[in-house]
Amino acid sequence: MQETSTKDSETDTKVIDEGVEKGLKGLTPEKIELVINQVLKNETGARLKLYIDTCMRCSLCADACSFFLSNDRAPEFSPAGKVKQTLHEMIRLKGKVSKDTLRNIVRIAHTECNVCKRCSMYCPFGIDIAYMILLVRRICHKLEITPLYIQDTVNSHAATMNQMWVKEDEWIDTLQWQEEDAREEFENLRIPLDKDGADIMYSVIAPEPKFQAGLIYQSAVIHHAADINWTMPSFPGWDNSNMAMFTGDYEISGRIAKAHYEAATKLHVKKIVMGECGHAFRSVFDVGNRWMGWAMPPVDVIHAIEFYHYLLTSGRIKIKDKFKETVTLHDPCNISRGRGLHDKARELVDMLCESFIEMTPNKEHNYCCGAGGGAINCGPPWKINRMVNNREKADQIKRTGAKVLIAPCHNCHSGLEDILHYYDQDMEVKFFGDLIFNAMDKTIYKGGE
Amino acid sequence: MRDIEKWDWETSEKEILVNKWINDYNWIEEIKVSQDGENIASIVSTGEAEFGICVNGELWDESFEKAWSLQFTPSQKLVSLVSNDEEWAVCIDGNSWESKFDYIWDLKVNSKGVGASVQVDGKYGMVVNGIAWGDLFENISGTVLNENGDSAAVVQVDPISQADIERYNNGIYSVSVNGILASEKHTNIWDISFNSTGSEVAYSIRKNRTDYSIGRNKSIWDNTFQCSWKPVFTNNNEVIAPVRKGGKWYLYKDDKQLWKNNYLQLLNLAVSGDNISVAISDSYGKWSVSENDIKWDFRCDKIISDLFYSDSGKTLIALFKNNKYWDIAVNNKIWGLKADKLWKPHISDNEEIITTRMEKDGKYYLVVNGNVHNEGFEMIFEPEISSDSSKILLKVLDMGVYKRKILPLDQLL
Ligand code: SF4
Ligand code: SF4
Repeated sequence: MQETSTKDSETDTKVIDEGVEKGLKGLTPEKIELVINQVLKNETGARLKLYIDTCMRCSLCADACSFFLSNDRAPEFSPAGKVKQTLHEMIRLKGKVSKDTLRNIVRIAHTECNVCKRCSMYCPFGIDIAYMILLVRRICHKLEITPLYIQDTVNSHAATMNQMWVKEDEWIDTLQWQEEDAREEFENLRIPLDKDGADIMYSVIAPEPKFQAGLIYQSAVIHHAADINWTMPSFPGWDNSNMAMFTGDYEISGRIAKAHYEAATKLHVKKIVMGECGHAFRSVFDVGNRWMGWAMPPVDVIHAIEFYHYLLTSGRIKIKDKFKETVTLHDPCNISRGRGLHDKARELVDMLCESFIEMTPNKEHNYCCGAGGGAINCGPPWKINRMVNNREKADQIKRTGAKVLIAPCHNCHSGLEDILHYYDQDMEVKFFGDLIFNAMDKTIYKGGE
Repeated sequence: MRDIEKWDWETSEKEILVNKWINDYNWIEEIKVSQDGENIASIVSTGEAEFGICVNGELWDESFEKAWSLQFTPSQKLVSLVSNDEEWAVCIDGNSWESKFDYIWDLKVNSKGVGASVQVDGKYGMVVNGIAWGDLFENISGTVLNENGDSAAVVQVDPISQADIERYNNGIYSVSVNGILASEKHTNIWDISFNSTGSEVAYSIRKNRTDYSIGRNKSIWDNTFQCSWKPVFTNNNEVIAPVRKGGKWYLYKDDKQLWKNNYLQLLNLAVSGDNISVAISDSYGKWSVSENDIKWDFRCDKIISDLFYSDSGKTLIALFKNNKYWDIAVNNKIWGLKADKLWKPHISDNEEIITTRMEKDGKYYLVVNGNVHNEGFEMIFEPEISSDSSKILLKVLDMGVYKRKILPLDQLL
């Protein structure tokens, strides 16, 4: 029999979100109708019509969704069920949607779907549920009823070009402080700022300078030991994250991607290496760039997994002592389903760890961490719901029996830590960077070795 | 001032042994070269948490706990941001400004001097030639320093508590020019441009979560848009900006549609006299240039990173990436460089010579009028053209030796 985590609680459908409530207060029936119909008319086309016409409510997608499984297979949590309660309702009512229904729609679209795209793999027609849920979020954005905390994050993006209100001097000061500290490892270590013509621009997400500056330290040590010609921009464009992409604020989402790529072209680098974040990769590689009209990234961009894989296989970083404890690996949706990096991730695990146990399902079939798609950024009002909606994820992790969980993504990392804590699971979450930093031979690579 | 005629255009080669510095100091940082090529400098580590500025092998008298953002001005002065005892200053040719700050960054240099962003006791502003703005603000971004020495930035005027989205929506940002508020408050402001005299500013704004427009001094255009990019002043003091309507991008002038055609994207607006050019995307993932609403024939699939006119406006240059490589198009004609890295070129006064530098397979090369010079170097710094357009000043690092070479153009072309 399948072991099930013991915390049980139901999703609270009565959560009050200040941002949503304030937005609803300002809406009139006319405005609601106008905005919904405008978006449906002007911003959709054959793709949506095809999805709507094709879905035959077969429910084959239902078991693909961890929300459905975590909520005892309640039909309202099935992918098609969520579209029925949100987008279909807007279409059926021709935009004449009540405020109570809108409140429900925001909750479903923002907190009960991670836009993880797992369900699409199980739909016989490949219907992209995430696309439709994001369309609902786009309407919510235009109605100004986006949940408070994720809207605040988008406000930060728009004003500072980073998601955590990090001021320009704080960013540079943090890099200089980490550089100084990291000289404990190598006395001549540098985090080269604005190095024109470096080969690589390394970009991170704003929680790193804000709360986890040690990750920048580790990364600087890795770059230095591998003798990489790298740089970080001292100016906006350094943050590769993008919550606007998840609130449907595509204009700010595009502006964020523009700033990121313009930083890279201004520094004349060959390549952008992104830290361990999944949604940021989706933004830079797939979403923000495309809104700008860049079909493919205008400057080559690789995720940290690809970079670390190169460092280890090329011998630029040598592993001294492999990690002893048994580890398991969480494949982040946006770099596994979204980019196919799961095999490289396993090769990395193999190079770094003595003992590995697979999580099931895995690779492109893995369940979302439950924090993705902006869910964790909806903040404290929604936290308990997020935990309830992640019971299946907690069970999946527990079944591995591992003591260490590798999660090469910031969102996943924070979301998984929350779940482990909530479901009383004694497990540590690590980045690949943590493992490499601890296992590496801290000598400087010399070409030709 | 760039006094290019007074530079040494006769001595065919001068050398400075940079590799000697490597032995003299714990480490040296990136080499910076003055435009006239006579001075080379680097931040160097002289001891534990001690840095010096080394110019042509000589150290400045003062040493620093921290130093960064080293650069030469157009008048060959050497500037760095420096810190001792947790105070920051600008240091020019070894003399630190008397004004000190809790932090200083975003160094900008031009012919009128030196400007930067500063933070004092958690308040933000700019400093220009040693004089800080009288009023400081909650935050600062998007700084501009024009050729008259005027400074401007987007400033956060009111404090905001965590997640106060209502106050944010109502507008807490303004434009400050030389420290004085020069616009109304808006939800967001980006991309400030000065007019040619520095008497006016234009900028892009967001009025609320979804409506964008263009601001000019204290007023804004009547039209609202789905998005807008950086506005630019024409010589006639009109404001032109790319704006988005109905999912397409248009060019607007003084709040009225200017070009007949719309595009999937409009970037890098360049204006010279009556000529207006923009990098355009006219089909998804395809980029070109439109000059006065007439498209060039060339297409690239990645990006046009720079688009600019020569001073006379006769030459229009696009720096672009197609497939894997960087290249240049001059007046609709592609050079065919296949560069891994490529810099913005210089144009000679007579507009006959266009030169730049590129990297290919790890070596740096001089490029003149699309011809790649056959000698590759460890590094090439920005090449210069003599005012009579007969010589190139080539500045290179070659096996640890800095070389300043004068190359007659008739031997190069
Ligand atoms: S995208 Fe993911 S979270 Fe959303 S319905 Fe599909 S499987 Fe569930
Ligand atoms: S599997 Fe596809 S067709 Fe079936 S209900 Fe889900 S989305 Fe509709």
